[in-house]
Amino acid sequence: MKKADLTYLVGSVFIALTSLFYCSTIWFSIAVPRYYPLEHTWKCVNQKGLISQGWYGMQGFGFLAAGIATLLVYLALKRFCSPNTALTPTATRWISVITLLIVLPCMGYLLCHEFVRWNIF
Amino acid sequence: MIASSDDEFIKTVFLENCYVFLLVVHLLATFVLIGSMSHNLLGVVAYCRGRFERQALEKRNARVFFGSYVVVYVIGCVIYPAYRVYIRQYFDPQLPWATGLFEVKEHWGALATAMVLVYYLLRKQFQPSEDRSKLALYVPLCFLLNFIVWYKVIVGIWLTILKGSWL
Repeated sequence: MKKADLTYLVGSVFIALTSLFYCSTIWFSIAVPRYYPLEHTWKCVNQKGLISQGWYGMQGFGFLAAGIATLLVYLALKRFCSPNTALTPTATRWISVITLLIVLPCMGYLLCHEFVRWNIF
Repeated sequence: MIASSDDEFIKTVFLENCYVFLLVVHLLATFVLIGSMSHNLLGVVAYCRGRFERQALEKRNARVFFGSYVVVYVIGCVIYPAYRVYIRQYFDPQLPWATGLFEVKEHWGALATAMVLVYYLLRKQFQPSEDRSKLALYVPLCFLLNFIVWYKVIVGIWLTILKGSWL
């Protein structure tokens, strides 16, 4: 596959999977590492009464899981697609549409999740 | 610094002494970010109109956009613990809606980090005038990143006006 096509496809997969894996930490209550700024420690549990930050862990999980899955997609494409394979304009458009159909609802979900949680609406 | 319950020792937070300085650098890097990003958007809008004369400039803006986003993101990450301890302690009980806006800013920022990386790598690999089909992702990503970054900038400035420091 041509380098630009490969970047386009693999990049789209990475964006979509990062959004899904990031949101999945909320959907499935995944115990990501939390930073305790006053204790200067990391723990996988959310200890009540102590200030902690889960955002780093959520990102780490999202990027790492999406990175591994994207790497597998990349290796599969390198293995099974010939160097002359090119994305058709229709396929290119559909990849974009599917990526946006994953990212935008994830963004909407995160907005609603926080606005409900903090009683904004 | 926060005194522990029995005052035996003082608890400090990572980089809390540099918080204001880093916040100012964060803001200055944000100026570069929104400048390059908005100029990049103008170039992308020109592509939508079929005009490709300023590709080199648009590519350069995309590069500056990526670099400044990384700087803003890294500084944001390192000052977050001090913000969490001193600023959010004020927002959570008194202005919970402010924390809600901030949390959305952080979540969208995390997703935008992946988008910015792909946006930059994609731009390095293709010439818009020669491979217009790739604009199917490049253009919406550009608009989406502008939307997210402007949301982050407006919320960030608003919250800083409400409570920028504990000093």
